[in-house]
Amino acid sequence: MLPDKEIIELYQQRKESAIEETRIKYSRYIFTIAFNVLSTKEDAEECENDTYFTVWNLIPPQVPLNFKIFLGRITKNKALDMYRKAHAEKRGAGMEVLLSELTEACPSAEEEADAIMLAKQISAFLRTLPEEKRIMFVKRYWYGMKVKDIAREMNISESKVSTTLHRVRADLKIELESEGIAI
Amino acid sequence: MKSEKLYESITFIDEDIIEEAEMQIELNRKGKTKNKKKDKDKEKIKTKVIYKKLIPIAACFVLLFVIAIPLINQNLGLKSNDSKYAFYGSKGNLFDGFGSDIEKNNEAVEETPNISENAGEGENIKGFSEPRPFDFFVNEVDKYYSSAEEAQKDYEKSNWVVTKYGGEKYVVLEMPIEDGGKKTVYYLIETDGKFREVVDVEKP
Repeated sequence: MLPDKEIIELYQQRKESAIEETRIKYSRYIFTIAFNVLSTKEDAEECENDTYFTVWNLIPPQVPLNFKIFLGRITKNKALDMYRKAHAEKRGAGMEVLLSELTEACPSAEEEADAIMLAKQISAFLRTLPEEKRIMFVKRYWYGMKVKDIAREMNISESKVSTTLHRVRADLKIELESEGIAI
Repeated sequence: MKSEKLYESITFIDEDIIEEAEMQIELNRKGKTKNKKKDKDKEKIKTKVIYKKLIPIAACFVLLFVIAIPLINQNLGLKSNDSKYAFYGSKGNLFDGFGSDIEKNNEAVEETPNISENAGEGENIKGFSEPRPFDFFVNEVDKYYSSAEEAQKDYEKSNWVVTKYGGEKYVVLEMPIEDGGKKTVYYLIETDGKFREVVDVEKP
């Protein structure tokens, strides 16, 4: 497996082997993140392919500092888009579907800027937490891991994970409200 | 929609926070692999230990068959000099108790095919010279009998000279004959205790 730096160079040289190298190294990682959001194998595979396509379009000009997290973020966004679309379709051919379809046409820069602003606040809040709680939060809400998997990895009970996450969410809400951030 | 927005924002949290969690996930994964390897090693060691334990147990079983069971057999009534024949029966020891010369005879008649040809010659019988181990016992009676009836009386009074083959009991009697010699006669003991002379002991 090539180091991340060399894979990024392949993208910059517009060599298609870049995608294959990314697949070899990060297929499982990307699939897991997508599957944690979408819960079906087919959707997760589709999301994985979308991710490779998006990365191909983004590099260049972008040069990610951390390629793995860069891939994770793209996967999460793609998975979220797919999730929204699927749920809108389920709800029927009403306003939800119309909005969902229009979302694809909207420039996402503003929305993303909002999300990044909010992310800064969340990051600041997470830094105030003890390491264990912070890691637990990221595992659950960034990686989308199941509570039982987090409990197993951290050698604690599922109920403790659930309780801790519940408290962190409550604290986050207070924090964001005190900062005057309305979601 | 609010939660989706929050979820989306979490996607963009600082990289070092994600890396911190990432590191722990990796460590756990490596730990798991290590643990799996450890488990495999443990299993290997377990197997070795089991083999180490099994070998002496197997050896004990072998010893049991080679030494202990013959000793038990001996305790069941065989004299020490019987036991050397008793287990593998190559010497027709079953008829021991009818005179020490039988042992001598045994050697001479290993190949003798039929009792009827050799009865009275003090010879042993092929059929009896290869008993299966453990299915017989011998009581010594140091006496000649003039008739089967006489012997039967003794047999009824005491527990002697019983040789078992396939669940049937046999006695071997030595009886004096007119010219002053003696004759070896083989009897099957019927279930009612009566003696029946065996003609063909190859198929008793």
